[in-house]
Amino acid sequence: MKPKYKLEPWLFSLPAILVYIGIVIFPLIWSISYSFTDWSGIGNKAFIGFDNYIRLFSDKTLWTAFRNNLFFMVVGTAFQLIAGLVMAILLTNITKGSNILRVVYFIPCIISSMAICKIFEKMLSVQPLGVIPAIMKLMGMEPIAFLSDYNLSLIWVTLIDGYKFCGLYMVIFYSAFMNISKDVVEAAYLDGCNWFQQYRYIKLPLIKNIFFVVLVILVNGTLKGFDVSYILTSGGPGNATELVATYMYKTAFSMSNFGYGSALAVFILLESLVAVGIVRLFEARSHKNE
Amino acid sequence: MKKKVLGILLVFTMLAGLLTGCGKEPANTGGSGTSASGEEKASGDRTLHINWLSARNADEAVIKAIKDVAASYKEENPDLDFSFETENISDRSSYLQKLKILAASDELPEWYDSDPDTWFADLVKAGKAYSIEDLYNELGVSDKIFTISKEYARLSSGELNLMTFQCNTEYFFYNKKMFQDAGITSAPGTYEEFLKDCQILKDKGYTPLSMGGDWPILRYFAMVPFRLTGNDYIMNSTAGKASFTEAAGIEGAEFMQNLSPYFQTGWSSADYDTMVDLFASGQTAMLYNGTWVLADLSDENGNLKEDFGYFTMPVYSDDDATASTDYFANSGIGTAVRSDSMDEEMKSFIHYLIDHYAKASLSYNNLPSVMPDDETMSKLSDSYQQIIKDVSGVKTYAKCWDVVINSASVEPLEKETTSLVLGHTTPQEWAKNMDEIVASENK
Repeated sequence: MKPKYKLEPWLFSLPAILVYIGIVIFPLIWSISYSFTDWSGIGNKAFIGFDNYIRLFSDKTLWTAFRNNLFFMVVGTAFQLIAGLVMAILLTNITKGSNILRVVYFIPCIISSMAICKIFEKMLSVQPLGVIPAIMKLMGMEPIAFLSDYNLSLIWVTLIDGYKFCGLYMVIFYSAFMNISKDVVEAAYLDGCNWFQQYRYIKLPLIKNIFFVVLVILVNGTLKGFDVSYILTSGGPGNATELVATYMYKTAFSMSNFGYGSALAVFILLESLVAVGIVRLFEARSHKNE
Repeated sequence: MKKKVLGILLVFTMLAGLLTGCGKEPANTGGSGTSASGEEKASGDRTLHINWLSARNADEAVIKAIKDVAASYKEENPDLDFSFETENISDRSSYLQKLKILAASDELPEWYDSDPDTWFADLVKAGKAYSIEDLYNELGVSDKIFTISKEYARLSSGELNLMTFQCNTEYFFYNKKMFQDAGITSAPGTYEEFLKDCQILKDKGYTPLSMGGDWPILRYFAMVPFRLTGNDYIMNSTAGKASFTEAAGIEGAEFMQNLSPYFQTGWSSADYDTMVDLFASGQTAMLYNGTWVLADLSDENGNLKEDFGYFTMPVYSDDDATASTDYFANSGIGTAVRSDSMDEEMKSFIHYLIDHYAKASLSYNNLPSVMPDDETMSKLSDSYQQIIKDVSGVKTYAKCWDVVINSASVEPLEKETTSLVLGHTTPQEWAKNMDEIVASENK
């Protein structure tokens, strides 16, 4: 039923729109304007045109961070998607204790990133000996300082970030499974569908829309990944775990280069839009093929 | 019609609720002159409000000592509306980020900590830091401050805009038992002996060196160039007038790679506290650090614990440009006073602070930047008396890379040096990258 007065919906939406403009659009425009300047935070801003954007192409650290970010996005998205889905499937099949299990799975989401990172930092430390190297020693292996290893540190940062947030996607998938009509599932059972077939042919296809929404959130979130990398390793060792967001933050606030930092922020915005656009394209094709 | 009016009223009610919190409080200019509510002070009212954004831990001796002095100043001035608050951010990167954001939004507090680096020099040029040299001269206290505590805090232009509260030298602290057990009978005097001793300790199953945090790795790198050229190399290379590919730079880089096997496993992700704790708890044989760490390594009498000894920076070769008595000495991070907060009340408090700081500082086992009086000197522990002697004996103070280099290059320098030590780049690649970084930041 359409509203009688066309203006009223807009008026009711106005406070939310104003807040959105104030905290998203306005800072975005402000940041874009800074990206055309050279400014250290002290004194006047000097307009330098597209120099900051030209610098992006020759910045070796940025491209290292971008490659790291692609790895972080692919592995992190896959990990969180699969982990969230598996946990949701487990929860739908557990009758006793599912409430407690749900809380336990969700706890990492609500613990602060600082606490999670410090816990894992101590667990992975070799000197002083942490839990994981101690287990490696007990198993007769040489303990590895994972967070100081150039080749392994990014994997651990990705997995720890995934561990923190997979509970959120578990909740989303679990809600989606709960909303599937029981009649459909019962009809499938009556037709001789087993447990695996139920998920393969009934439940997962029915939550395809949710799946793509989660994928968009994951891709967007991992492209802007910051806290775990920054707190745990500060982008190190060297640039092994440097992500584009951490590099942007350090450029602006450590190196006092707000102009170039803003250009990096615009880069993140554009790469997020491109990535989400690609996901939407796949979604549209998937719907077309149905 | 009624529904339309009701709808519009509801919208405006929501908007009003949204906008309620948007009113701006009158700015608290701090210092004296205005109260927190922004009212003009009545004539005869004395006020002084100091907010200090500090890079030091709240438990640090400097903070505790100054708070004690502030408390006694308040007692002695009952007619003064005085408050002294500190905000402590001990993680240096986080501290600097907050400071830079405050500076960019022109919201610096009355006191704030900084090193005399290029970023602070820009702040001085913008008139955001009072001249401490002028202040010391006006108060007639310049002679009371240790030379290093003034010289270290000077900008490259020669201006002094930072108060300092420490008088530090840097040593290699070592574990005597580990050295004895490994058969090392005397502290190394040259870098060759130092590396040999590290290998002996490693072969004995000990971890020779403790490492962690941001700046310590840069100190090790600075040692060889300092021995070879004094401060010439650091000043020229950071200004882009000398290349990191020169002999001093490459030899320094090679020394770093030689040290790599002797740090504890996982050092690149260890923080400063872990570095100190590993040594203090007897898990590593040596720790390079400043005398500010004595609070963790001293007994109740203020002397270095029996288990620990120290030696100064070894010499590199017979052709060294510096003497064996020249090494790193500094005054710790400085404290600036925001120009517009310097008034007569502030000057009066700072004068009182300088007069009473030495005794307060030493009560917390911290060497002050102000010379203690004779009575206090005579009661100092042997360790502290020796340190004051060492500081006085230094003719050439080694400059710190993280202070001299353009502040935008500090993070890349730390990362490149970490990669070098981990073996991911060669000294030549490291030197080339550093030249590019310095060139791009000095443009």
